[in-house]
Amino acid sequence: MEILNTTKADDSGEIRFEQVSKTFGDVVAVEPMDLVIPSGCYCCLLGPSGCGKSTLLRMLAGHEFATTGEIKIGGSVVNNLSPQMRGTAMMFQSYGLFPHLTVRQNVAFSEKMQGVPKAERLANAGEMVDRVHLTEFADRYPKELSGGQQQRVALARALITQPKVLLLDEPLSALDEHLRLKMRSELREIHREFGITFVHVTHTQLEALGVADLVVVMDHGRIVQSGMPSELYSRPKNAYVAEFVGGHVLFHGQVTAEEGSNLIVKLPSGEELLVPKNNNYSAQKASDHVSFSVRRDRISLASDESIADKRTVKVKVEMTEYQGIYVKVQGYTLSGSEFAAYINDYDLPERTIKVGEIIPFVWDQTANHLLEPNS
Amino acid sequence: MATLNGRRPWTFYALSLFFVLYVIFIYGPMFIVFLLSFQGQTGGLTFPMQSMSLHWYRELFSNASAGDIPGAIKRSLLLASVVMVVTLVISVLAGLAFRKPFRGSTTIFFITTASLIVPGILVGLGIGQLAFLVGVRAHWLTTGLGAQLTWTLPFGMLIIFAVFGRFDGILEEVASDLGATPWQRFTNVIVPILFPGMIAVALFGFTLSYDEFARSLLTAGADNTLPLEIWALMTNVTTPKLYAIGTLTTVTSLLVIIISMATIFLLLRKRNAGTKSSE
Repeated sequence: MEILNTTKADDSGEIRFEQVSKTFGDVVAVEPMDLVIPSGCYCCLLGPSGCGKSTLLRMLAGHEFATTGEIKIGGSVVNNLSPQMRGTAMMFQSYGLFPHLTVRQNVAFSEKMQGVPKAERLANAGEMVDRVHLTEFADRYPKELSGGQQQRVALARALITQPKVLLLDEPLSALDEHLRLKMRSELREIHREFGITFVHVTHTQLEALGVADLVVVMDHGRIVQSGMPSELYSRPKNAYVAEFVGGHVLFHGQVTAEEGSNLIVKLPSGEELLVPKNNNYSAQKASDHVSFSVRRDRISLASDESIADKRTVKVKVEMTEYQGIYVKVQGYTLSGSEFAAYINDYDLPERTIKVGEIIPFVWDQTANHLLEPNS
Repeated sequence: MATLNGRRPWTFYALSLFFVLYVIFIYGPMFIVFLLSFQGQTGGLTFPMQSMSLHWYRELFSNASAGDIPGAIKRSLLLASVVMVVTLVISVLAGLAFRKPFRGSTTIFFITTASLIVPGILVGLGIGQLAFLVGVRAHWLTTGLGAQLTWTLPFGMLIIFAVFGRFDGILEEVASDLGATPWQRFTNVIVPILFPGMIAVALFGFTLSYDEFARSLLTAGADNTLPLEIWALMTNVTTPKLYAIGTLTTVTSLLVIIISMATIFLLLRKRNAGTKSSE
């Protein structure tokens, strides 16, 4: 499988962070970190509020000075360059459209700052306005436009500067659900069309999984894991990532034995599960305490035959939630840990699960994924 | 305002009456003065009006009359213009400075606005005395200007702060992201958006200066501004010439406001027309 499906032929949009950190007085917002974002990649910085993702973005944009380290774009160090000179353009969370200018004038702003003559810059702006499908709104003022249209103006205004990197600060957070999904695919389309590196900050995991080629999960100023969406979803590095990305059940237990390339992990309530060893993580021997995760959609209801299989886990059901493509069954294991599974509704034909029932669940043990400790 | 059966409640009529009386109270005297300024040559300071004439206006501008009204008007207009420009420039600069908190910002703010609560006559007295002690001769364009600024600057700064408060700071960052230098940010983003506030400060600066009396009294020096001249003449003049002065002053202020409003209106219209022409 190709790693990134939109890598540019040249490296002009490659971003490198080398030991970059940011401190505000005593507060460390970003700890010294290294990161490479390939040219033309759509990269999402994902994490909760306060994890440092916006600070990282602003350092990349040139709106914040890095305390230590070097930031390189296309191979050149950009630490002391202005936003315009370093080849980045930012789309701000609140869009920041100039209220006293029309759409066309907003888009023409950067060329006006460079001294491009009026007729020429308005014509160029007009072309860009056409490209984002806002032709009939070109002479309207921002307050007359809807949220989605305003966002397209902000995009056009940033893209006309022909940046090597486009930065988006929580671009979809202000939109309602329906518009968010529509704009998500529009962003992908624009990324494909323009072919430049996108760095998109968000706290919504489904959004990151849906748009990104590269997802960087952050926590308290550090990068916890970075990789393709599928990698993060199937092989989260630790409990933090597994919980943040969502869709996983976490188990904690003690290693009782090794069996070939698997560990036998015993849960507090006595069930023994088979967990494949993790080559990256060496502390895996008998009597170690470990955590592992399973994707919720890999779990099934144990049928009468498989109840005899000692690899089932019994769960006391607290709640079921119908979500169309699956039914979410939520509860607690007999060990007391949280549990949830996504069950196809055609696996429950005549069966309705009642709250309070204790039901066994089973799954392919190769789906168990060993987690490293949270650092 | 309507009760359940659709008719206006009695309170509506009571309050309307109150409003009418209020308007009469405020504008009545002014209107009487205006009317009496056209008093006939043989008329006195009160009704009845002998006839209608422009006699007292002519008196005002004739060389034989006491006092120097035209000169005072010229001085007041010039001083008000200078005060307007200085207040505007300082207020805008203050607004820019106060965007981010800095050491001593609260102190500076309180010192500036404190002059609002000090009685104007005492401010005038203090500045007049200081000038005397230092050996500077009081003059309307130096000490008078300074005294009036203590009155207009707090107003100007407060208005600008209010306007800046509604200004979205992100717009400056956006402009910088798009390649604007600090000066370009100022002329292309801050000024256009703050423009109505700046007009308000200019208007305040002008009218506060033009009407200023207490502070100017002891700092204007030998030549009077218009309010001072009127006050001086009031003790001597016992003819409707006084009413002519009053009317003239009011008309001047009115003209200033009308001209500024018209300017804003035309400027805004030109801006919108400029947009259409870019199609």
